[in-house]
Amino acid sequence: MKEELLFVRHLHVEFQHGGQKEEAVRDVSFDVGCGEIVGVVGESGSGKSTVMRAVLDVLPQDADVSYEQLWIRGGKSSAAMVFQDPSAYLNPTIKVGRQLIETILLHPEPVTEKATQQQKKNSRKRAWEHAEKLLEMTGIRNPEEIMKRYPFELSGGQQQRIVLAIALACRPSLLIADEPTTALDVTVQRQILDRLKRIAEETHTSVLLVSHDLGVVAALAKRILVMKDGEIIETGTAEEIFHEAKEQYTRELVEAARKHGSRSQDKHRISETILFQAEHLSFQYTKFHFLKKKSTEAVQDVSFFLRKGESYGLVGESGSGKTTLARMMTGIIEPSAGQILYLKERWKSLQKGRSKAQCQKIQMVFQNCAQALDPKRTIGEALSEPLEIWGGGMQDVWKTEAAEMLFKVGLEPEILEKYPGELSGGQRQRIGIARALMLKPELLVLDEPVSALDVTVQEQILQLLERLQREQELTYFFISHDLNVVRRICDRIGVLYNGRLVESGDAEQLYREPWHPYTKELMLSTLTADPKKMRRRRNVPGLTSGGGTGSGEENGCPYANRCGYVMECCKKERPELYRFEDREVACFLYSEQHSGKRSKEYRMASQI
Amino acid sequence: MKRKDRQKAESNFILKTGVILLAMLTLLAVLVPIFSGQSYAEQNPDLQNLGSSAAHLFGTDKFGRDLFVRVWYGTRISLFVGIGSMAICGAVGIVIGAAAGYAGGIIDLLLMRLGDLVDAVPSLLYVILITLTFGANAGSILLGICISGWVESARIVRAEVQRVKTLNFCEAARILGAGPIRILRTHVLPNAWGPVIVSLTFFIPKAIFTEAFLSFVGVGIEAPQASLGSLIQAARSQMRLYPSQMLYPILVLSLLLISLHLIGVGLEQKGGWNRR
Repeated sequence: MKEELLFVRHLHVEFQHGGQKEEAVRDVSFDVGCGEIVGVVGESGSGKSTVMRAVLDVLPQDADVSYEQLWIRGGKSSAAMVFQDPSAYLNPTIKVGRQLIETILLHPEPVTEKATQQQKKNSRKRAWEHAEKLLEMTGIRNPEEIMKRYPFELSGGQQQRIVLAIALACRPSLLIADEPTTALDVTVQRQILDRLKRIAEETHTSVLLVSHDLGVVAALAKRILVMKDGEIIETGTAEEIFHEAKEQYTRELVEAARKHGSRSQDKHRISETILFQAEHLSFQYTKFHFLKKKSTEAVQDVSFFLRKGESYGLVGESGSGKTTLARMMTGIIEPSAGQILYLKERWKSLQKGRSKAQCQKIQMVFQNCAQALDPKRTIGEALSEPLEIWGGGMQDVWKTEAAEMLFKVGLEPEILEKYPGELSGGQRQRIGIARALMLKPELLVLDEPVSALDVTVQEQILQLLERLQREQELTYFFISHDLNVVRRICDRIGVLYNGRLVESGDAEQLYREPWHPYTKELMLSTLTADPKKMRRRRNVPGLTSGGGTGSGEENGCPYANRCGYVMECCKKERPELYRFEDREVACFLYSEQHSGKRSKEYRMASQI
Repeated sequence: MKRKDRQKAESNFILKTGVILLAMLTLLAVLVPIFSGQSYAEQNPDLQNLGSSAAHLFGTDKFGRDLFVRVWYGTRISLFVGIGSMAICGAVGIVIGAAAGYAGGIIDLLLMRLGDLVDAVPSLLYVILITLTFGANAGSILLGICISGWVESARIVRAEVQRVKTLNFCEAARILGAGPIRILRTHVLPNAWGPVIVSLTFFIPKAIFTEAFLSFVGVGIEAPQASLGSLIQAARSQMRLYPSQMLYPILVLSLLLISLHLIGVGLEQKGGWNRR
């Protein structure tokens, strides 16, 4: 019989809003065994986090908590929590080493009889040593140096590792991880999850893993709880949940997550006309620093083209320059080199006088749908704004057009009178799409349009995008950090790393057989909502790096110090883009020096 | 939510108290000099230094002038200077701040450095210089305050505009083809109002105090016109004999400043200036 560590029976949580009561958690009962990894999945607003906070007793004052039984073996102090946003958790004014050591000193080792006065004096020094050990455990390669830094000097992945180390410093028997990797890149996410798993196994710590992402849960959890509207609707082992779920809702969730990774069968017409061309686009941010000019290259020498009616996907981690590229395409910023061609005609940026007629052709949908709509204007006003700017027709005409557009994106006309703050994330994103379509554009630049949304809502938005493409013959430039999403909707994919296009080609081919080592790392980091597949997956050579920033030598390949296939030449020169039919790849593995002189009939295949 | 609700009720209470107080003071300041039938300037040797009575609520001063009328007349000048300078500084500050914040680059640099230059000289000096050249009246005090007063509001507007203009909805409007003036008017300024309005509210008591101080020192409003500052100054010579002559203008001045501060704090706590 397994030993129980956390035991919850009939937990209720109510929030009070100025006299009104709102039930957030209804009759939740579950338990966690010693050393067990339990996953909790559910959409946002399903009460996952509220349950975890109730367990740790850190809910705000206005919450009414009642339960029949709720205990943790060893008391509340034997549980620790890792939050979604590490930057909000760490104190920005204190070096991370000290933050970690404070925690260690607060949770001293169980004192043995041998502990003398002498040892107590050395507690700070020993805490420092212990801190280094903890950081190594969480996968930080140079703990001594990292501990002397401030949180803002670290990357998101490193910050999350520090938070994990702080949580471990409490010597918890239960670790609650609330969306621990949601804010991180796929590659980092995979590393952190692997670490979490190893730590749980080595230290025999139980983990309660909360996530909206079934892939994350599938990667770690042995047992899964599914939450909906404040209730646990289903409990079972990972295999049961993913393959033979009893509840309709669970099946829908799993289905949505699966579909996510599969290619859509949707057929849209792609014409041979080249609609849009980017030629050697570069962008530099220049900063003035004590009379010294310091410039960082966000995008370097990127070229690609879009056929009319096609969906082109751009993937890459945060900071790789995806959004900068999108901003150049829409003309918000002026490229520092290179040019943009639209139907063979050279276009200027908005600042340099892109004409109104040109503006109309390319529109954009933003990632952060909360920020993309003016909070002070109604949806009706937001949707009629493009028409107002263009000065066509009367106000009542705008209104009918706005209502028609709402219908097209699947919303009710009542929403016209509402403010963005009253809408859900999915609804806001539909409005964002509707606004972009008001001027009947030909090319839609979609900057991570679904990454802030729940899986089921993501699926709806993707379906909407596919339908709109079919109906209006739109061309999509689809930016995402999530390969699954891109693969689902795109015909061709480009992979951006450190501002450079490292590989591009047909979506299906690229997905099945990645050529560039970075693309392969991305593929392997992608989580699938299938525990069996996830378990079979081996570790990747490049993935062992402890969250290095990956910017290589000044002249070398930017990926060189993260790459598992690194060669001598990679550190000295930058590889150019080698072209094989419609596949392009920037890696020395495909150069003539490396693979030898080839005959004309030679068909290049993946070298990795 | 409980705490938030309490805070909201509290800020509403503060705001309401301030507004009611200010409204009362303003009404008195406007109506009393018109309807009292007594002049603020006419001297009457028979009525020197009287105490409070039904005919003279606040009594009379050493020249036999009715203090009730004089105090409210002074309040009127205070309000004129305070609200007038707020309006002018607000308007100038918003235009310059918005231009600097939105345009950025060299325009921003020039405008803001100009502001720094103007702001580097103490504003009292401007007021004194202007009262010396244009005569000591409410108008020149107002002008003097405004010379450097716009800088602070311009800085706040600039910072807010810089923040709002990078938000996605402003970029979206640009992509839709909207010009800078349209974006500023419909998107940036409505979302930047909150801090600007709060700072302008706090600007009024500052201006009122400057005027009262200058009049107290003797470089402000000239006799026989009355200002709260000059009333306090006049009463100082016989403070021991007739303390009430000093008490009334001080009381009214304090109430005026407190009411404006309450409004400012109430607005600030309410957070933003949301239409919803």
